[in-house]
Amino acid sequence: MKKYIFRRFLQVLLVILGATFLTFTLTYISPGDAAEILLTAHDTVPTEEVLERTREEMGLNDPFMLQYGRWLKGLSQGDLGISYRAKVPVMDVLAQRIPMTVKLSITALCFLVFFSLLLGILSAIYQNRFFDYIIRLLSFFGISIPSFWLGLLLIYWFVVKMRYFTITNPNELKSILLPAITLTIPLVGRYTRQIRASVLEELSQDYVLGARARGTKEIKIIFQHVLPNAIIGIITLFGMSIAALLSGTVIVENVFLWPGLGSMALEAIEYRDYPLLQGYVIFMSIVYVALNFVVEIVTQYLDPRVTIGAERKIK
Amino acid sequence: MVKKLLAFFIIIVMVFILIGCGKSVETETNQEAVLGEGNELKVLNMALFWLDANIEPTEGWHGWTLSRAGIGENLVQFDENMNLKAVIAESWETVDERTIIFHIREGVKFHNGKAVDAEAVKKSIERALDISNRDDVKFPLTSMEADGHKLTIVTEDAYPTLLNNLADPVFTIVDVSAAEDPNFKYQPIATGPFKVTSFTPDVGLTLEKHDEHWSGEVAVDIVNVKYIQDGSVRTMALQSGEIDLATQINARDLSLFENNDEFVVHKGPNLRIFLLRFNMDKPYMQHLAFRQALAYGIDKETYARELVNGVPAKGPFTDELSFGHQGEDFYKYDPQKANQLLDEAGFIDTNGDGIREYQGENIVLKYISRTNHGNDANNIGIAMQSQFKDIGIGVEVVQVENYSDMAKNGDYDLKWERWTSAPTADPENFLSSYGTDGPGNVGNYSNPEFDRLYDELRITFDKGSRDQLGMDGAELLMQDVASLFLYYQEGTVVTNKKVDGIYRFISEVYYIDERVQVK
Amino acid sequence: MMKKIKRIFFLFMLCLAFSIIIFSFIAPKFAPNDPLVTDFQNVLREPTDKYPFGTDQVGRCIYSRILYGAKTTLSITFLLLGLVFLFGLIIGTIAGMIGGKVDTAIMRITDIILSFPDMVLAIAVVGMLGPGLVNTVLALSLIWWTKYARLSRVLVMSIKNREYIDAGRMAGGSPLKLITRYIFPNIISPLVVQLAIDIGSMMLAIAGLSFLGLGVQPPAPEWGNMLNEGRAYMQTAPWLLIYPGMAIFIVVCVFNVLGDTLRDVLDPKHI
Repeated sequence: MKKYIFRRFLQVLLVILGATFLTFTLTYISPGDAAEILLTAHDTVPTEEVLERTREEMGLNDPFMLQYGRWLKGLSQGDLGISYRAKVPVMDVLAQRIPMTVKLSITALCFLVFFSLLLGILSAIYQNRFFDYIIRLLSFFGISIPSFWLGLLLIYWFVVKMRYFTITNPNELKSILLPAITLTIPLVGRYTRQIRASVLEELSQDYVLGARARGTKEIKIIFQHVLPNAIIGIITLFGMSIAALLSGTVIVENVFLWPGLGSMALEAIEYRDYPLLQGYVIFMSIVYVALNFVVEIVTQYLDPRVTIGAERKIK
Repeated sequence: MVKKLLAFFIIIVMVFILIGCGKSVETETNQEAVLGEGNELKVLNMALFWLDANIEPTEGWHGWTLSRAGIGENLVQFDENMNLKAVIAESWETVDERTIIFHIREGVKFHNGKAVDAEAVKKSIERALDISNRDDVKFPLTSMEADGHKLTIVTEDAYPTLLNNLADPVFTIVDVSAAEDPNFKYQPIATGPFKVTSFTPDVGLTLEKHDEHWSGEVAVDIVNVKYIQDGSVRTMALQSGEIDLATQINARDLSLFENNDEFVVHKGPNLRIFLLRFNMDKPYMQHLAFRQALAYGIDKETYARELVNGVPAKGPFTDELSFGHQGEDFYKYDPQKANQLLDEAGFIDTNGDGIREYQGENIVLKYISRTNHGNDANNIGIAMQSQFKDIGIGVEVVQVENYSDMAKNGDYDLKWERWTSAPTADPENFLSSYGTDGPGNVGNYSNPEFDRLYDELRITFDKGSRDQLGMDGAELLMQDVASLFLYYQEGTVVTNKKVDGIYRFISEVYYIDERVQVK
Repeated sequence: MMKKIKRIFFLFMLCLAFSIIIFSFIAPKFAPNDPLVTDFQNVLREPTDKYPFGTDQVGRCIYSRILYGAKTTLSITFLLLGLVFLFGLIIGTIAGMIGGKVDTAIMRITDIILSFPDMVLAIAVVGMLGPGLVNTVLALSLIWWTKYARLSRVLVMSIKNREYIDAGRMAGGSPLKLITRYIFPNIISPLVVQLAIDIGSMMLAIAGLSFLGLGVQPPAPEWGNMLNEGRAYMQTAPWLLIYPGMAIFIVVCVFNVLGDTLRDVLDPKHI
């Protein structure tokens, strides 16, 4: 097991190295002159000398591998460069934004776990009955609704019309609920169906039939037998929802003006702040790979039946 | 198994917490605690539509945040009607074309309690001249002498716009001895009625009143400045009472406040001019008749009224300015006239496809704007596309990121530009971009007569003559159709009834000052 | 009995989906107005007879823009899916058939691409190369082909040592013939199911990028960018939000249901 973890860890490191190369290459081949965008952000027109000087200062004239090497070396020391726009280390900007996105993601994750478990189990218990159909229909709607539209509609109803929630106080509960819900709904739709499926599978196992024959209460069966055995499915759900949550934050943060990593990335695009955008992409990739790694190890630990080295399930 | 389930949950939560909080820096302020101290505190919540990564006044336009939130003050400033007023200087006297003497007001204190004298002001100005990247407002200094409360500034040549430049937020007077602190760019020590207690990038600032402000007691205790970039969100925040004051409210949303007793709307033109610069290197652009036809071909009135809620522009300077153009627009919307001009000048549609040709090729003008110029730039482009169809000219509207590259390569016909045409109430800065070798003259406009006027302006000292030259220069550009001057933005300040003492500054450099009150 | 109902339901969804596709291509015939023509006398007008869904901030007909937008969205979606399907199938089959170093190399590449949450990589590509339709297509294909490559690789590996393949191998003929005659027919149905399921997600991805201002650029009508343009007018002209959003929602719904029922029909083991 230890050897396996170590080997996987090395693979993960290699993958991350590949990810840095991909990220850097993208920046390198991007059009537009960063020096110029830096200087023209505020309605002025810089002279050619100032431009050339700035380009030189920013190291934009160096060859590709040199720039990549320098960047990678910095990255290994936790230095992602200086944000063009904020003129402070990218790490500092990330540090300010990360807690906001984490707060949003964790709230959404809590909603996600609670609602998808609840609805999934209910749906399985009431299989092919009215309640099941309603839940399945709603989960279909959940998958199909564009989150940006949902977010705008929620703002329109609950902020503008009803005045229940606010959106400019990201540190208050009143402001986090709507974005978290928007982030959760499409995922709840997806995972309710999966949990339903795995609970149904467990329910058809022999031991459940046995327990039923012994007259054990249905609710007890669910909590004592079915749920613990369905746990592997639920954990893979976590693994999968990480990507979806991290992806989803971009749009949701944009809709709700949430000052997290997603809005930061979009601002970075607008200002062509390459180092900041790179920092975002690399950070997201590392978090994603690391969390997947943890989930994988935990799955292994909990269920030795899964053969070591088997194909990892993604999506 | 239940234990394992629990263990798993804990692991996941731990991972998230480690990632998140391990690296986080505690920058959030506890606003509730401040508010909770007592109900008698007067609190103002205001929105800023623009906030950069820090508020170091010498860096770019960051000083505008200081002036807008009443944090920073200058020796002299422009009041709401664009007249110079004495602030940290109590008065000034112009000795000769190169020398001005300022008398520093008694009793001005920095936010940290230090007294402001001529020496402190001198250091602050020197610092700005030294480290600021705003070459457009720096001036050539020969000497600056501080003597008690008397400050004498001598420039190298006659420098007519010295006072205007000193009024720019770059020259916000700050305590230089405190500037070494790395935190200074988030909490600058200035002299305004409010001082910064915390700064959170992308979220906003909290301010506290400056107890020792020279004007006496400031009526508001706490100001929460929130950064809200999106106009429609500022509207919502005003409606929900999250903020008391917001500026630059979207045109359409104004109606929500105008007929509402809970709100007060201040509006009128500001100094922003939106224009389309021609690429004069295109052969057809060299024909005056062609440019005139383009000017006749657009219905600015409608654009301004229906699309952007601005004021149609006649020239670069609004008539609020002392050098604004007072007469009629030279080229009012008249598509017939445009067609006639084009026909006479030989731009004819020979192949009958509805688009005129020049040397055998269809004339399709490329209209470029930058992504962050937003919807207005695009909407106007779309409008022109459909109006130029009537005069047989094609338009291709592109909104791109590398707009400056395209401009540099001459890959455009019409370039969207947004200027604060006279931030210091003087015409020189804007007009320089039409001088034959002027900075920002990306369209290579050249007009010897204009160059002569501009050269004269650069050395003219008297305000009246400068105004006249500015007016003449602008008029020349308008007559010669050097650009399509589209519209001035309408400046708006909306507050709820709770707030008083708010003035709408034409320059948009100030939103609140020591006169603000909260009921 | 259940199976029959499912089949009928599937056929119904299939007809619905096809009619949406066909309709979107002839939609321009039904559009009452030109989607790009502005009418300054009718800016931000509520729905009327002339403009069934109202007009937008420059007086364009929202109904017509939605109809034209359907064409944009659907054609990009199918173009993209076709692209990633073919590319992924080819690469995946190569990896599965050849195995060894080629397989490892291909799998490492997909590992790297899958080390980004999909939307993050899409934003990185579009953000760095510049917003626009071409870069959006590029970004989404860069990500999505890996899915089909991995799936087809696993499928190929699971069948390549079966008897009938061996029999085909014995019978001689080029490897290409082997693949097209024996391999593809046996792996195609799970791939097609996956393809059908992905239609909805792909549409949402495209609309999402356009909503963020990175995808299809205005003034071209596309549902995502219509919502983006309309959000500033949420309070005074809510129809700018309601109709385009509704359009995405309904179409995505239809294709999601279609994908789901297709899976039930072709792959009944799946619960």
